[in-house]
Amino acid sequence: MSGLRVTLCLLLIVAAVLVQTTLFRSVRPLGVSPDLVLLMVIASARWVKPEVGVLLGFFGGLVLDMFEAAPFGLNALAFTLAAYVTVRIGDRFNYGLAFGMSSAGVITFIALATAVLIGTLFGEGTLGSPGILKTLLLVPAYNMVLSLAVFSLFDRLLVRPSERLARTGGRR
Amino acid sequence: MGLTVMDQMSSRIGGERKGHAPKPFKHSSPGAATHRTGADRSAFVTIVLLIISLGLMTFDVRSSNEGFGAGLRNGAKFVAAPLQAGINAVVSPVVGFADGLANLAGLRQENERLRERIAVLEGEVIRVGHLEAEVEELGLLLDLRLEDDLQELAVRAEVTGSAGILDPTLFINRGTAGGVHPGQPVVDNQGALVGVILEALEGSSVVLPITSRRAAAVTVRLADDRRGIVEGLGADGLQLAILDADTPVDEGELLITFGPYGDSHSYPKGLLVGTVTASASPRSGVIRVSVAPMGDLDRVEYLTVLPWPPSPDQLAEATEPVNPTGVVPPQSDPDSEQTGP
Repeated sequence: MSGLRVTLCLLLIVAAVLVQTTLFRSVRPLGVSPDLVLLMVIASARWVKPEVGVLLGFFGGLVLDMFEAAPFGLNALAFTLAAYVTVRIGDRFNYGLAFGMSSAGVITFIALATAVLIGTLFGEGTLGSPGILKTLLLVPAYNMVLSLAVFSLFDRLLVRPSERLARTGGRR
Repeated sequence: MGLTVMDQMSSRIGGERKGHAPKPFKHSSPGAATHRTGADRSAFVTIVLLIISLGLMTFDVRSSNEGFGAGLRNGAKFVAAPLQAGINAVVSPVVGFADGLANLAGLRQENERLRERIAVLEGEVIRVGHLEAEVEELGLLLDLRLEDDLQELAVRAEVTGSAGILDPTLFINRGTAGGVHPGQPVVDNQGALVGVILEALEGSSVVLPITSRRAAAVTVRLADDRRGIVEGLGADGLQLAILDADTPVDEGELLITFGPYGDSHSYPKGLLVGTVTASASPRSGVIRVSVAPMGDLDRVEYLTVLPWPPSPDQLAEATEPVNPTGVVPPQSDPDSEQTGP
């Protein structure tokens, strides 16, 4: 099941990159789009071994880097850090829906802030952009909302039916 | 994590009612709770990956985006292009329909904005009418008609995607096979400058918006014939800087490209760039004011790539007066606007 999970997570991350680069070009409430790839990385990191989760974060960032003009590796760095934070606080995601959603928001903020700071050090100058505060606040907020759907998707895809039955005591 | 999100929430609420502290689930979702050793290993893996990422970034920046990163990017875009086109074919009509429904109320504001834009443009036409006549006369004298030539050679392209939360770029479905080359300016259907071609593959290209900090600064002409520099600030922001300014600029003032000037060959003259968002007076002889870009990057679906220069070779031949295509190549002479079309 572990190998299957990793494969599924990889596929979901690649699919998220495609959706991010197509659908979210048009869907930009208040001029900012959610970071679906980062959300997939966060959700994936909860379902695999910690070191694999971190590797998934690096992979997701690297794939996204292939589509962006930012220095190659910037997203890989930010997403790796996000995945690491996720695996370190992984059990806290289970404290409840609100905690899970807010954790997704906080980790998104950490990843974005990292990308902004490191990008600025590498000459990107994103820290001085006029809309940077809006981006830093709205993207985590959007990801919090989207996490409800993404986490549910991972719940459904990555749990074996027998496990689900065992955990719910046979309840449907 | 075996239970659904909703199940977890019910479980949490139940736990609180009974006064128990929340407990992490013990199930097949590994997570940190069930993989302490793995979590320790993950710290080491994370450090290694962070170092690799920093190395990749350093290498990419030092190679000016032309190293292995550029190769990977080109390959990824080549593979993803058909998939993105497929997704767009499904998603675009749905998004367009939903967008139309959602923006019914906003159409009135959009109409108002367009009316204001027309008023600005009409005012601008009157103000620069004599300049246009002069330019036309000079163009006839030189037997050059740059805009017509540019329009004939222009490459129409469809926007297939975008990437970048912090500094977006656009993908278009035309590349070197269609005559698109890095460095060429890109305009929307209204003739407003959107950006410049950053990378060109055989069948697709990447457009770097002028709002990006990476985009070349645009030398612009104001209504009173003053010259300024418009630079991207990222996140849809532009800033106009006028050095040696002695009179203020007015809100709504239209900015158009000045054409080749100094070392800047990036843009032909006469393209709409944006409007000044607020009146500003000089401070110590310098005016700095924000500019609203004319091109709407969020909604644009079709773009036009201007053959400027027609091919990378043309840039090297920029000093030649006329090229075989009939398009005037960029001039490095600061006074070129007087001798251009």
